[in-house]
Amino acid sequence: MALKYLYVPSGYKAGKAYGVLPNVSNADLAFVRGSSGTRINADGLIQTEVTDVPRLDYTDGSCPTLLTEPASTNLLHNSGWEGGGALPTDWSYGNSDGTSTSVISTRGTAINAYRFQSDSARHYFTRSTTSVSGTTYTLSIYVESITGSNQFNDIFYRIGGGGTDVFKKDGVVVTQSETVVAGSFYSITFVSDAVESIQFRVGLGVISSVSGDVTISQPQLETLAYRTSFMISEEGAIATRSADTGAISGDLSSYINSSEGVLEIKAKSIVSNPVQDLRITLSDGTADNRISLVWGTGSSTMTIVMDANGSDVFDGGTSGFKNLTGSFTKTNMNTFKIKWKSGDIQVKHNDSTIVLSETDTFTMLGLDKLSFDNATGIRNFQGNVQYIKVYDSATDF
Amino acid sequence: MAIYIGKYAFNSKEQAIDKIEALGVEQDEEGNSYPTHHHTVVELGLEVLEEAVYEEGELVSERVFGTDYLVDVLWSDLEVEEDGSVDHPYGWKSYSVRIDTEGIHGFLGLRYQDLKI
Repeated sequence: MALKYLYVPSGYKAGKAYGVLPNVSNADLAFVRGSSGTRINADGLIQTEVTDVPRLDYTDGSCPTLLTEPASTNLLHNSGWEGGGALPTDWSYGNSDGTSTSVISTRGTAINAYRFQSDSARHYFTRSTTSVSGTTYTLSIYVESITGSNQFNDIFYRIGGGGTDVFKKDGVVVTQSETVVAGSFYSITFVSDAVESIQFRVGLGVISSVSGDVTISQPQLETLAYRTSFMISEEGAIATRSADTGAISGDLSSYINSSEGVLEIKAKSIVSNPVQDLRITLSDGTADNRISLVWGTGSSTMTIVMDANGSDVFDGGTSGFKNLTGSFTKTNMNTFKIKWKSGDIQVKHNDSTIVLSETDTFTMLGLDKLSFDNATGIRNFQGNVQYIKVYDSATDF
Repeated sequence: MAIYIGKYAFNSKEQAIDKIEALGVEQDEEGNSYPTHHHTVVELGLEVLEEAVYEEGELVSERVFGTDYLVDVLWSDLEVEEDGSVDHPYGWKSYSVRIDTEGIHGFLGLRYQDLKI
């Protein structure tokens, strides 16, 4: 009849994200990342965290979240736009009829931003790479400030590589004529159907002459269908961030009631339609006894997976999963509460109850671990977690 | 966790994929492949001999590629030999390339010159 486990992003060190409750080391989450990675810190600035250090991300405001992402590579050289002058090292002019000036980024001194000014002209930078047919690419930039009313395809475009562009603002599909605003990420995702040069254009007048004044930073090109956290590549090189993996608690068997309880998670996934399921799981360390919250591969699909004593739980023991009724914007922060008790399995989504099963019975054994995967080390959760709670009674639902 | 960085030049993409899969790959119940190791493997593709050339935003000539297929790996927790040394996984050493710079690709926050295997 009480909260027995609580993870809220707070303290951390290399290889560990500290749990809050119980106040024992077993509540801490182990953590692995081979390389460094960046996050937005409490001051809104880009900060690099070294190998194995969990990233507490403040992108969404004052409340930190634990950020976990897949491996990715920024295919653009010198993405921090070092080198000074009107043109950063490794970048070229497409056209240079206006002006460009290196300025201090609103995201801190780890990177440079560039201010582009044009009066019925064209002034933009380019970088190019060669596409691999069948590969998905996402190009992205961050608009730090803008004066006037330039649109998406005035400041940012790509040429070559085939395929069809999907234009997004902060991950939401828009048209290429979307009016640009400050403080947003703009991205172009496409599946290449050709082996040819892709030219990345950023600045002003990337298609035709415009007037404007815009400051841009964080250029990135990835072979994913979505943008991930910024990767600062060196001059003359591209850069890879390793995946965040291995997030798992110690032995919590003294605190978790296997026969009944509530698992509450507030989180959002990195993408709405992941290539593979993304999961957070309470388990005995195997797939025999587990309760997983699943951000599924469908664009709005959320699923509960339950196995108990080696058997499927749902539909009279014939199915190990049940899709939640409804449509879910998985890239928004959502709260899910899962109640497990034999003959009484329910879910609440943002306090609205979704009945799953009031007839299926089960004998759950040995729940003692919380992990950001499917309990066997795969289907790692990728996104942002605000908190995870485990209660020891179904009455806490 | 001991980490090392290796740079490799394989004879073809197919050969590189064979080596990568030999590190450990399994399939989940839906048939999706996933690695069973925690190394970070980055396929850089065919070696670029000449960059594409643009003039006034127009493509003048495409990139020119060589035949070597380049792969960088951030090795995590490689097996330590009895004498304390660490070697490339089986089948990789023959294709290892050691260079005196950081090269065309890096792992964030890590220097190849400090960690090269």
